[in-house]
Amino acid sequence: MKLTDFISKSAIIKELKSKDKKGAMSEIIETMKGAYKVEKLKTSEILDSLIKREKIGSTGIGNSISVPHVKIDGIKTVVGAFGRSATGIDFNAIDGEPVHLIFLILASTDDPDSNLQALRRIAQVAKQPNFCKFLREAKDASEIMGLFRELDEVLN
Amino acid sequence: MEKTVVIANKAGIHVRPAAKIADLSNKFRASILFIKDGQAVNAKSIMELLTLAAGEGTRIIIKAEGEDEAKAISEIEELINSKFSEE
Repeated sequence: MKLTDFISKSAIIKELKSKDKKGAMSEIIETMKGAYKVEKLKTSEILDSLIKREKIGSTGIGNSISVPHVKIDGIKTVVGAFGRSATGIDFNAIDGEPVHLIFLILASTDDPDSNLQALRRIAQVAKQPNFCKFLREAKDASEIMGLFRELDEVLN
Repeated sequence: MEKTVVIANKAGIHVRPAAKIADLSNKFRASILFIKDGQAVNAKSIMELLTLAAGEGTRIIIKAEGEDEAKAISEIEELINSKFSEE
């Protein structure tokens, strides 16, 4: 699965307003509802499950990336969003560093495999420190989307 | 030393199971690889493990080399069979 298969340009936030984990995730979910026409989803419910899961173990996987993800009812297929924070957000990441790049994934309860395929692609991104640097420096959503496309071409 | 295991939890190796496997693997001196369909990754790295996208029912070969390889394999196998305490 490619990044551009599950993240649309309208689900990219070039600079998050929130400076904390909860606020940032809430901002991203709100954006996703509009981007994927799933206004019926309840932000507070999704946020609660994401926070509950973060407490069990952080999704901050290093290289300034976190991948909060949750399986929910009411969507047909996996959808993702990307939010960026210049100042960095404390995600209790495994490397102890602040998170600047958040990939949030909402997967369908009926399709656990698509969740893994999306995570796989983001892990491939996270393994490329230079690419993470480019993502942090991109000037707007179009440039970020361009980098996603570029990476999708390089990776299998 | 090698051992084939089958991923038993419904959600497969997503971030938290990957973190648990990497944490446990890092306790051993042995080098530990997870091999799926010929793709071999370092079990001590969360990111590498995630690139396997190993779902429920996936067969994984655990390959460990080093003085504590037997203990490493047995403890990792136990962790996988415990379904990472998720279910």
